[in-house]
Amino acid sequence: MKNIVLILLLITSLISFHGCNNPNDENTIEFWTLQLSPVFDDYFHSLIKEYEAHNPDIKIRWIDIPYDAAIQKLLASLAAGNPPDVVNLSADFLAKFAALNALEVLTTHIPADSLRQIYLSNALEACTFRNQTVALPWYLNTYALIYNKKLITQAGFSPSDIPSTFSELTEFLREYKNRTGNYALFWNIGKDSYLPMMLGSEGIKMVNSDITRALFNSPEAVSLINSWMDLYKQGFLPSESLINTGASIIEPYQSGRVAMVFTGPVFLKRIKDNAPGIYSSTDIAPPVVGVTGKHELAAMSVALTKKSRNKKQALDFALFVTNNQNQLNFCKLATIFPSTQEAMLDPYFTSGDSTLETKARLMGARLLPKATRLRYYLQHPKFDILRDIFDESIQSIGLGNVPVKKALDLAVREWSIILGDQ
Amino acid sequence: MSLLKSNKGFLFVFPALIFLLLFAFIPFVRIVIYSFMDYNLMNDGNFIGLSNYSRLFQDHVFWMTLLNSFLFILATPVIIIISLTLALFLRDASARNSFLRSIYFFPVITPVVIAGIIWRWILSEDYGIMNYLLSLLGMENVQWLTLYPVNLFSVMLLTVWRGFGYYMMIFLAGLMIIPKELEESALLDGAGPLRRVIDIIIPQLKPVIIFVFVISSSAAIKIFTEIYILIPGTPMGNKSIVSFLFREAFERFEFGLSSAAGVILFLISLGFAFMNIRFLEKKWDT
Repeated sequence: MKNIVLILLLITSLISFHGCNNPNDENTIEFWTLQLSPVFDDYFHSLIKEYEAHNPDIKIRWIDIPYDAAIQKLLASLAAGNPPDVVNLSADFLAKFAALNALEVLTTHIPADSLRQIYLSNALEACTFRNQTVALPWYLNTYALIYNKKLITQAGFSPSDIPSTFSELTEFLREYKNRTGNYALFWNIGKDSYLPMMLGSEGIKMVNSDITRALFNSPEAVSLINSWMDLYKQGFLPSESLINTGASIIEPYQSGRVAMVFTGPVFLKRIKDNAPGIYSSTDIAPPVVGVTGKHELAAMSVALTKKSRNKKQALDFALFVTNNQNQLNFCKLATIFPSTQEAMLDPYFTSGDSTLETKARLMGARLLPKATRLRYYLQHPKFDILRDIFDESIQSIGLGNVPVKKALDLAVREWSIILGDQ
Repeated sequence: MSLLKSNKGFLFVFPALIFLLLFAFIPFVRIVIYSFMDYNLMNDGNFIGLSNYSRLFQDHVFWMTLLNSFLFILATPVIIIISLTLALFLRDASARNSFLRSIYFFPVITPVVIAGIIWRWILSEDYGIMNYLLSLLGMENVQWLTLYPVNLFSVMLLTVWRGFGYYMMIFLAGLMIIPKELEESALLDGAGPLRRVIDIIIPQLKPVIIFVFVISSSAAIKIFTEIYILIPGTPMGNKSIVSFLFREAFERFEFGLSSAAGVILFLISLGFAFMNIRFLEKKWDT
């Protein structure tokens, strides 16, 4: 009998542990951000404190999650029926969760016209899935060409030689390598490939407008991809350009092994912290573009989950996080840009001192209206599978010596199966 | 109930049983069920029969990953030879040997992420020390990370480097229980060091060698982390079945398909477990 009592006690204790955890209290808003802690802890603590002061019945529970684990963690919480109320997501991930019907359609709470009056149109567009706004735009970023003045000068180039178009860039890569024996930049063409971005900027469509057909085996696309594969095969790009992930592009620049890096100006701070020597000879140029002059917009968003128990309050908090003043305050802590029209008009984005960060900020703010989603296929819920197929087809060209046209035809066929399956 | 009355020790294993039930048995049963379903965590899942298995068997990438997982078993004899050789050299207790044992064990306690980063530096194709050393010998750069199957070899290198110290310790423990008299009498009969190893130590150490073979080959077929760290951006066809399973489940949410791959992996692992039992039983019988 004693044994049975003991067993029952054990089971009861396990059940009671489970019962203790009930984070979805109606007066608590759970807010997830993507890899912003500990750098921005002070900002968020102050933001939350201010919101709670204005809403004394509401408690904000802030949880910061790693960027790379965002999809998995959110999915797991959705499956467990315990998702956050408000979640910060890269706009690239929205289609996946919207297709799962996990995100609240915000235009059912706020008129679309009101949203259009508040937020920048390109930012709002990035938060749209099947013509419905599924998130509020938050902070934005653009691309820039960050370069090492010292290495460029040593190679006999002047700042006016810095490429501004992709065709100039290919010539520059060849010339730099021929002159110095070193690579000019680390440029991902296989994994996390820049090629879709380049195709978009050159006005070459990867998919049709309703994302039902893949088009990247067109003669124009084959020609562009062929030119970059030639660069790779002729040794003008680092060997690992085919397999390194997007996260690895900054390191070769920080270590002084390459003269340029094509990334967001937000990375200037990392270069400053990690490699002050390199930073001291760093300068910045506008993003390299194709014939359309367009460049990629990187947008962060704030979404509401459908299972939130307090949607009204969650939306109120999301609007608070993304309002003019809070976005402006946030932008002053890093080289990022606000998604609201009013915040972008602030003098902070039109004037300042002569530091590199200021130069990056003013340049980014000037170029931001031209930034757009070049990788249109990201609006498809299976964008990650499509991306993998494309990336692996490029890898097969570089590593398996598969002809460009053949590899792209095969990838287009695989895409078409998925796109037709939508 | 009779079990409870007759064996109070049951109570002590009860908490562990609960955890096994919650985190091993129930998930296992559910994975088998999911393998017959179209399940993505957000739906209830529809029963689709053997479709997931059929999809897997028609997917050449799956077969490639399965083949690669088997190829990783090739690292097993290498790791056994290295760890056994080192154990033989370091079996005698001395300050020098204790120091060397610690040194060789160091990779085991090095976090895999750190080890992966170190090896990425070593094997970096344009800037790594390995290709630099080859260039000193007048050799061409080797595509350690990009070219298949060379990149599999690189992962094996990392696996062997991380694992040999652990197996060396197991062999050292095994060597300690070999009666000294056997070796001493062989010595008196004029047997040299190599003869003593071949005719006395290895036969005596057979159960340990089999054990190490089985656990290292089981670990090899389930390899994932080393691949994830060392060659994350290579095509899936260059990776292992666990990498495939991970991608399908946690990147593409294809839990049904991933579960089917998991069941196949389980059956293969089960084969190794049976092999283990058969070998060991055979040994005990003789």
